[in-house]
Amino acid sequence: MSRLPRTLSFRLTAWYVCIFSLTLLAVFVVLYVSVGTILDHQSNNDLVEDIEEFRLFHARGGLDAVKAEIEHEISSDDPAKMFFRILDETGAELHTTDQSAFEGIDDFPVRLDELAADGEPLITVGRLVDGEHGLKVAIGALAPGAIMQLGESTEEHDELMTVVMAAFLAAYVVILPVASLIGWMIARKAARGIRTVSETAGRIHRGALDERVSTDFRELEIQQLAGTFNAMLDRIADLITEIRQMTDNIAHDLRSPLARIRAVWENALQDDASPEAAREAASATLIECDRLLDMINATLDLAELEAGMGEGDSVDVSEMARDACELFEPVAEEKRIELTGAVEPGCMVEGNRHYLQRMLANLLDNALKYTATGGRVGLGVTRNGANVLVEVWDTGIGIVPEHQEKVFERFFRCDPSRQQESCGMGLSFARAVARAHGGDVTLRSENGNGSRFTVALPLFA
Amino acid sequence: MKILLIEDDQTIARFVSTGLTQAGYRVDVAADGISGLDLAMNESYDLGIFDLMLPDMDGMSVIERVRRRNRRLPIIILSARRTVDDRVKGLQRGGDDYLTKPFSFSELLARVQAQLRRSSEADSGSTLVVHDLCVDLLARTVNRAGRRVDLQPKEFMLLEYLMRNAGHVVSKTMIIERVWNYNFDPRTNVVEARISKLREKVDKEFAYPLIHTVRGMGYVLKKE
Repeated sequence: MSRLPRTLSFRLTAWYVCIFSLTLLAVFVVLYVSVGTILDHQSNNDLVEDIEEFRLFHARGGLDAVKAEIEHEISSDDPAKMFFRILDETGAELHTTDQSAFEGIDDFPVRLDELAADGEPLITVGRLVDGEHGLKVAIGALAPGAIMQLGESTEEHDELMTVVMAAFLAAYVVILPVASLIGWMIARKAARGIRTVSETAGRIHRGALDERVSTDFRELEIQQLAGTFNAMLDRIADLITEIRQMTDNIAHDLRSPLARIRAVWENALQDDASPEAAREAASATLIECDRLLDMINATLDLAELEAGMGEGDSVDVSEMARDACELFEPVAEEKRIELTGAVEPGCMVEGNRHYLQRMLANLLDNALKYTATGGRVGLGVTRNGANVLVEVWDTGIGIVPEHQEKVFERFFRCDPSRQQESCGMGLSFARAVARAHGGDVTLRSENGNGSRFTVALPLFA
Repeated sequence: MKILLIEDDQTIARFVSTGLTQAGYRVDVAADGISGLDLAMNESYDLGIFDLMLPDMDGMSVIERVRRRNRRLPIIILSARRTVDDRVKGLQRGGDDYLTKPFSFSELLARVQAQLRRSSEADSGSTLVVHDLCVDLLARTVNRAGRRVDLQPKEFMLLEYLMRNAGHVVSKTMIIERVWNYNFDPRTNVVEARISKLREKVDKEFAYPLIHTVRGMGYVLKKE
């Protein structure tokens, strides 16, 4: 079994041929049995009619008229196919035709006792000792004391059935290969789309990453398969591009602190360097290490978020927003920024408390950082249909249009010299959190006229 | 005070045990889970510092087995695993505190001291007193030198935390964790800003300051 081809086309064809031939066989069996039964009934009727006829002859002309009629019948037919005899009520033979072709007929049961009183003929079917064909025997009373036994070979019946069987076999031998061929063609056609997709996949696997499957199929399922397959390839390509870009960024960002560490220590190791220089180098190294660590952690956090969040709890965003306002209040005060919170109570979201806290903190931190002394920063939480809207706005420097999408990218900084403050992951983390919760962050800003970040999260009811 | 350190990285083990010894603790170091478990079962310790990734067995199961034997031993988990999940699991399954690698020694020391105090302080009553500063935990009122000081709820919690750890340094991260229930460092001066507001209320108009900044480590509440 395991050596049979496992292709879809082969299997479809095999099923098709199996079902087709079984159906054909069933049809034939029904046909064969029906024809046999009909012929059988017909010959039974013939025999019964014959005996009725002889009964009339007997009534008209007695035994002699019967004998004459028998002679007449025999002469017009093959003596090997029919025989007639007449018995008295004890079963003794009164008259018979040539029995040579019917050797062993005496063993054939002559059940006189079963003959019904109304004279209805009895029919028994059997086979002579060495008979090639079957034998059908009818007995019936012509008159009291005259019982007719009438035998008929089933040769004609058998021959007819043989012809029927032969016709079927011939049909079978001709139709089956044709059916198999048709089945194979249908199956090939059905599997063609799948084969095309898999061939393309093979080429992509061998390196042709830009290739896509043609969606030009008439079959809807195959078209959908090709579409889904292409969408998956696009997504993978996007991810690869993103990863490449991120790797570049990380490499770049790791290189700068490492370069500084190296420079500091090279200085400290020079012959005339003082012990204080070594101490300074060590403390500078610690700071750079912390920066490296921040960067790596932020990258890992993003990766963790994008891999999916796991189970969430119900989180009261309103309460969280009030806490965040409270947390940042003194920071705002120090910078003489007016921080206002407009929080609608009881806005619930399903998700991870710690991530949401960080998202809020990052947005507020960002707003406070880019707003000058004397400005204003606001945090709003409102319910809007099936969403909770968290808005963080400021009267800060704003973001020029060409940077508005980029601020969400990892490691992006509007101003490359602003390296000290953060590693440029705050907003991309905020967006990743929003997206992991089934929402998103949007930005409205005019250069020099403040920014407004709006986080929409699905309301948890 | 005796501390058990289970840590397979020799450099880190030496770094931690040297520091703790200098700070006046006695330290036993085990380099794998089985010998660590053996020590924990047969010796008596005041605190455990356990690494999670050990060569022979999972640090989590070490903690679980120690916990079954000794429910009161404070355990600080040291781990390179830093996801929210890992942290939650570590604290649920028997850790009292969770510190991710790499860490600064001063942060670890502050946490060790806080844990040791927590375990020694058996229900200290409803008032905390340090010199002339008095915090009533039930009435949630604060008095200094007989004068009432009005604090916002979070300021009250911050002061309570500093009072409970009076004389010992608490780090910014510890404050963020305990007072605001954030388990990350917002990387802004939120704690500094909050502390300076608290100082204005608690220290400014009084004879001497109680809240001090320890550079690079954190804050301490004490009389100089």
